[in-house]
Amino acid sequence: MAETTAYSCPHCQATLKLDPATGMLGCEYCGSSFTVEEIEARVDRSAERARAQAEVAKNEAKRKAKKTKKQQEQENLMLPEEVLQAMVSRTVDDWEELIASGQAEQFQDVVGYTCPNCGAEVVTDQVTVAASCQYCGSSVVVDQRLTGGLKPGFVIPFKVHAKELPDRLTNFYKDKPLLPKNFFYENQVGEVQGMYVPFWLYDGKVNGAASYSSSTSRSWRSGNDLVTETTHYKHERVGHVTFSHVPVDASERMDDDLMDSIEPFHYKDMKPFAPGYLTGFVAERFDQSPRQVLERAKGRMEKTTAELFDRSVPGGTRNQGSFGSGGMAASYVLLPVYLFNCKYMGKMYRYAVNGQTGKIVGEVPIGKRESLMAFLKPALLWTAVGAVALSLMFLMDFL
Amino acid sequence: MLTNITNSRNRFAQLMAMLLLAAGLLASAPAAAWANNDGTDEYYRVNDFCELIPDSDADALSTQVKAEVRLLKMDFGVYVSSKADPILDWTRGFYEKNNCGYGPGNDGVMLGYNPTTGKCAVYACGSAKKLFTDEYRAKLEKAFLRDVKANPQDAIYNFLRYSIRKVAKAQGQNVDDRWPALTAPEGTEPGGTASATNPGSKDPDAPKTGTEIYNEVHGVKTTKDLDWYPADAYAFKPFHDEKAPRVVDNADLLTDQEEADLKARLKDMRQRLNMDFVFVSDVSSYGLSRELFAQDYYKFNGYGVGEKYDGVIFFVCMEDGNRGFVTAACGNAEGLMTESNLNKLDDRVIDLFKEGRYAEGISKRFTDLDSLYTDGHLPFNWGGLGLGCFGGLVFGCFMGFTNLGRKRHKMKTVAKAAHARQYANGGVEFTVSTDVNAGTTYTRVPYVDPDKGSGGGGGSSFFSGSGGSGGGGSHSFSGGGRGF
Repeated sequence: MAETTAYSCPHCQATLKLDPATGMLGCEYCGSSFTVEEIEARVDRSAERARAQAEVAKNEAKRKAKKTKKQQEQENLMLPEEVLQAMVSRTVDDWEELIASGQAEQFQDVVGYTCPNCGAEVVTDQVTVAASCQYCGSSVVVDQRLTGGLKPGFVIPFKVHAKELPDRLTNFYKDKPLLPKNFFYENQVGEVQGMYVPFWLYDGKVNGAASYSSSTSRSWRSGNDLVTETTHYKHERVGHVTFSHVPVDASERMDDDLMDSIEPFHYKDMKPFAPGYLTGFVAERFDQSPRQVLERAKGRMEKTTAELFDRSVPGGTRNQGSFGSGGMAASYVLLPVYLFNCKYMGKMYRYAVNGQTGKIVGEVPIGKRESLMAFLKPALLWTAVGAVALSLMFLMDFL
Repeated sequence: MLTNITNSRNRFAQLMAMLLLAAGLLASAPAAAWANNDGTDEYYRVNDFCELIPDSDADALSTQVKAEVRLLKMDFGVYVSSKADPILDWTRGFYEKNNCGYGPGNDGVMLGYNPTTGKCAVYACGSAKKLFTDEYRAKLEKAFLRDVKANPQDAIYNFLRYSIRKVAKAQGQNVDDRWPALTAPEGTEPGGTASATNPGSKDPDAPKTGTEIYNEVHGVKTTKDLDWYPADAYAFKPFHDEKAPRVVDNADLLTDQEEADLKARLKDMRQRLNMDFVFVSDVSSYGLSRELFAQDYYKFNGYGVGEKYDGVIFFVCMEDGNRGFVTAACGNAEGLMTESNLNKLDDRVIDLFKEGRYAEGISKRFTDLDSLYTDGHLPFNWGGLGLGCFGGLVFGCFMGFTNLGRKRHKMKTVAKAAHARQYANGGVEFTVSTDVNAGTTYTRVPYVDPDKGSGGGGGSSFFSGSGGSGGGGSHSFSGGGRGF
């Protein structure tokens, strides 16, 4: 079938008709006339433009669809809507009053254990049997008096099963190049127990005021002199940074650095607390109030605020600066952590695993032989290469 | 021989010797004829027994001079013989025995030249003695010796021209149409004037000294006696002078023994490598850049081997404020005188010159040049072997510690959280954000051209192309040097 093409007038979009007398395409509406070549060229350009626009739109859609790592991290830290609505943040002072008054909502249907050795107090559901203390490994006994401790608002349930830990641990060790060769055979991994660690999530605003100085310079030649013009600037910055849900563990016995290191927890999986989440796990009661660990949160927030202020004056020098947080609010949550000890060559190494993301942290032994080899191998190789290359260059006077 | 005879107290022996001399002169000048003292005799005015110039040219010049003899009533002649030693006595003997000169006083002037000894003398007789003073004759001799290296014909012609013009001027006659003043090709002279005549000179017909021409060509003013600079710098014809000294230590940097050693060494290098090697030191570069001075010196002294005048000149200038050395390569020697090689060459000797160890520096420079043109590269710096090994060890240790540090970092998984970046909502909300211009300051320091380096000897210069002043585009140079 023959293909027909109808050309539109570039001015009024009306259909053009061929005038056999002139051989040109004419518009009956606006009176314009064009050669066939002109119209063909216009059609080609239009098609090209359309293709380019389609390409741009496609790329834009792809760009939007492709989340950056940073965006993904931000999304992971966002609370689910149901949690956000249910969460009641109290100020630190309110928490102190609440704890002191004993009016807060209490745990229900849980039992408590006390370690006779280190004094750790943990709770669990009525069916879970904890045989040993997570901190010191001593046997624990049921202590009904602990029933009724302060109920946490929210919890992130365990997502990593304890069975997965050996494989994850093996991978963890694989990435440790200075691990002693015999560590795999000679280390003794203690009992692994999943534990909900109490955390305070702080919300707050850090106010800051800082002054900076900076300068720019340019040089040019004037006669036999080099002239340098330096322009000096003074910068004033006043503002604030808002922080949400900065986690700080509320357990005195828990190693703070260990808990800092297993961050981040993805708050998007946070749920309102229910005793059922404790099944098979234990939960420690907080033994540090929001006020007691407030400084850790404030220190992190203020340092980040100072960094963000500094970044606003590239190349500037901070002359003065004060950063301080106002009223801080805190939420009480339980976050999932596996804890276990590892004994190697008579020394105990403590590990923590993020029960949600599977991230493993902990001190690992560094082998002396492995360290020596890590130094010697490249040192010898590059000494030889460097000596040959440099000697040749010196010999040939390249240097 | 004549000196010995003069000093002899034996009159008989003196008489016999004079007879022998006369007989020798007669035998050596078969073409000369006795003159009648009126300038009309047909004896040759240009007596070239060494065939420095073709016979036809000599004849033509003789004829041209004879016309002037009759007109100016003054004789002019040239006598070239390889036997003439001492040259002045032989010239006088030739002049007198051949009855040269005009009129009863035998007025005239004659240039004698011995190409073997390289000496010349101007003999004036009769009334010519007044015009051709000792000073003027010395100037003529100097100019002749300077010019004869490049072109003997021009040198003889210039002598006759200066002499004839001198006499014509004294007699108020104009010979410009036949013996024009020495002129430079139009437009080649600094300042744009074509005349090479020095306007400040009392006697425009006097031959200019090398220094005067040098000053004129380069637009500088120096009083140093630069005999090597040619009179015809504008139309210079390149030449080879195998007898020119290859070691010219005007700045006295070398002892006599060192000079002799260097001469022997440069001679050996010239024979082996078939290119010239020249060392020149001087207390000044006489208003020129060191590079240009070296190029001119090389070119106007007849250095170089072959059609392209292959060779290298190493010039050390000891002028206060302009101390430095320069190496210029000419012809086929240019190929290896790359900027890179030149930098290496200069690096290897700059410290020696800075420390005043000139003889060592000069010797090392020619050792390096020998190696460069013999092997195609500079001598191996064996001292660098230890340095290279030590550098390699340091580098290896650095790489080892870097690797260890990287691996130890991987072992560390526990750290205190120092910030809360990921928990910051959005960033900073500024309520005040001001940037105020607090003033502008200016500093002024002397400009140091990075290409020229510091006065302490850093940096290198590199030049290439057809170098030097004057004509003679056959010389092309490349090279450079350092200050110290």
